[in-house]
Amino acid sequence: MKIRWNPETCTDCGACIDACPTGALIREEGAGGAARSAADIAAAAPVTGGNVLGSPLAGGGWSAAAIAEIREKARTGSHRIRGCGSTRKVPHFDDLIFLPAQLSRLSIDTYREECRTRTVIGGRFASKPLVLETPILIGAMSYGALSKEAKTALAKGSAMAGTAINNGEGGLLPEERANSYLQILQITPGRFGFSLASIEQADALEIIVGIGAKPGLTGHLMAEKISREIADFRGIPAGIDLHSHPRHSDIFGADDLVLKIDELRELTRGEKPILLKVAAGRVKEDVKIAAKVGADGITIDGSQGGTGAAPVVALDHLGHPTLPALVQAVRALEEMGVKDEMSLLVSGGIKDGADVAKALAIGADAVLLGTAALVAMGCNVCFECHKGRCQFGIGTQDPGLKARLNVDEGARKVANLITAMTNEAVILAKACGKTDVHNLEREDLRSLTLESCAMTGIPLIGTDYTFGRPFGFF
Amino acid sequence: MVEFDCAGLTPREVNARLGALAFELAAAGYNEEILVLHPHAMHNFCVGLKTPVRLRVQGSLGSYAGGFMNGPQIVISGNAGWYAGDNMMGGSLIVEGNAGSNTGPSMIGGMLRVRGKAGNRVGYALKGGSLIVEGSAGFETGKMMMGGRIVLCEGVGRKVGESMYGGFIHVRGRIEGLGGNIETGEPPPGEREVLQALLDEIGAGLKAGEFTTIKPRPGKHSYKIFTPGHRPREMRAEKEEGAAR
Repeated sequence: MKIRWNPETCTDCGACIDACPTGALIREEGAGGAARSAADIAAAAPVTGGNVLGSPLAGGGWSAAAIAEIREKARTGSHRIRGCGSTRKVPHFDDLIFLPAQLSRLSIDTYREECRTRTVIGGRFASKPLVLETPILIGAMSYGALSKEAKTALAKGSAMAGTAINNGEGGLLPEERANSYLQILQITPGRFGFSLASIEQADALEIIVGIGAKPGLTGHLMAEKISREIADFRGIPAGIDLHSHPRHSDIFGADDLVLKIDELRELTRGEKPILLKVAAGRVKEDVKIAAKVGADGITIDGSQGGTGAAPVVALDHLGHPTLPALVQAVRALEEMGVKDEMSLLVSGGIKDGADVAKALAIGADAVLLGTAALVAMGCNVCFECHKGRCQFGIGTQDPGLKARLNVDEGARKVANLITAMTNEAVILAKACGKTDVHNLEREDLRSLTLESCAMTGIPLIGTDYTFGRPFGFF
Repeated sequence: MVEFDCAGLTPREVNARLGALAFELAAAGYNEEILVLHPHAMHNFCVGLKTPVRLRVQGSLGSYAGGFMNGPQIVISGNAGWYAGDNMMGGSLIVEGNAGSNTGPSMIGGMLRVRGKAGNRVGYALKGGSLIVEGSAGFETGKMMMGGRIVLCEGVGRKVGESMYGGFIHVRGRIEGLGGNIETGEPPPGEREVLQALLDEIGAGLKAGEFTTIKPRPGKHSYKIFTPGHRPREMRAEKEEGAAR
């Protein structure tokens, strides 16, 4: 990697110096810019040596990243915390491809014929399910991890696209609810900012059990982001590192979940959908429990999911990737005989309309966007969310940085992204001969790799061959 | 006295009919207790009830009694199951018998009083209000609480106040073990008076000075994931040398 400084675009703001995790960038008087090149820094800094640029002799797993990681742990005696998500390459929806309709079935005109996208979530028991214009929702991201401006823009953008947004941990921000069209309220173990009033304002409730980026762990909100306002909103002291509890104080197993869901149904008179969100672990068992305890729907959050902060070891070494997790979830619901009544949502690394279409074809009812929506607003996935110095005003509580995000422009970009992704899903659905994106099915898919074939049970392209257990349509 | 009989009704029917009756009576200015008969330890009794009405439950209740309530005064003549007063916002909930574990989780306001004993994790993530246990309480009481106060009149189990962020836990009697990120001592100015007023209100004949106060330790919380149990060689050598002397 070589870092280059562009004098045409640099405003000499110094933000890159603040954001650099290793202090590798320094300001030099008269240099004409905020920082010298990384090559200069590396040559001058014996700590990083040549490894920051990647040694041509590196091998056997001793990459620059691995060396930097060891040195950091040796220095601090602590595990590392990082934002965003895993950097590991894992199986993905890109490993599948659609079979277009030709003679055996006819395609639908991309521009002149209809293909429905309307999506209903949570109608298993609730009398007022969510009715969305698209199968793409905005996933749970907390006020605290994100700025008020970012939350407001996401809510506005979701409303413009006719879909729902999930508030995430940390309470329901009034600005979010005021701008959202359909609001999912997340019930987290910490219950920060949670009350009867927030339940009354919501259109659906989601009990969170796990987060795909860090399953088995839960919220890490570092002190840098706990401003006075965030502290007051959550009811905690300012300036602490907030490590939420991973388990609900009133859910110690499936029996308690039955009672909890009963309580929430009483509170909402059976009207509002009650969803569960689990990180992808033992997916089949978890999904079956969710079905048995009476949830209206379940979100499976795969390991490509993002987060504001998490231990790196958790990001990289816990959980199922989204693709095989979804297959497991669908199998579980089909085995239970409730696939058609229980909503299945999936999240974790969804980045384009092809991912959406493939998720629907496998059996999801909808997908949730996290990182992709932030990228739409300007995020460049720098993995430094935990530091609270987001240069785009998204993952920060710093007043100066937050002011950099234009809420209306951000909302428009989020709405545009959802619209464009929905378009892409529709294009693929029509090419496969469907007049409703929810009619996409497994038979429309083929695996591009042996790995995805074995993992999904979807035949290898060009063959009718599957490894292991075929997935449903033979 | 108005009576309401739960016999043969589902929790949904009880809550709907009792809620309507309470609203009607409150609107008419009725100020007497409503006697609730045959509750059969039902779950979710009066969850979300916001009418300022007085209820006396003749018997015991199951889980989530009075959850999310805001305004009523409920007396349970028997025991209450787990999670009584979950997220309660206001009013008062009195359990004349014992209460199960996790009494008053995330309670926001009002008063929750258990005249007998309570199980583990009393007042988990408490945000406000007063939670009083006249008997003893189990382990991890007040864990991660954010505000309000917990008053424990006859001791508490292990890890009391673990990682609490705010509020006070006042304990009289034996403390089996303290949680992390807390400190003990005298109640700060003003809190002693509040505690004494509460003790006077419940008529327990106790003095605030008999209680130890547990509160958050200022500053960042610290956690140790890995705590080696062995002693380095030098320390062992010192100890053996000392013993030999």
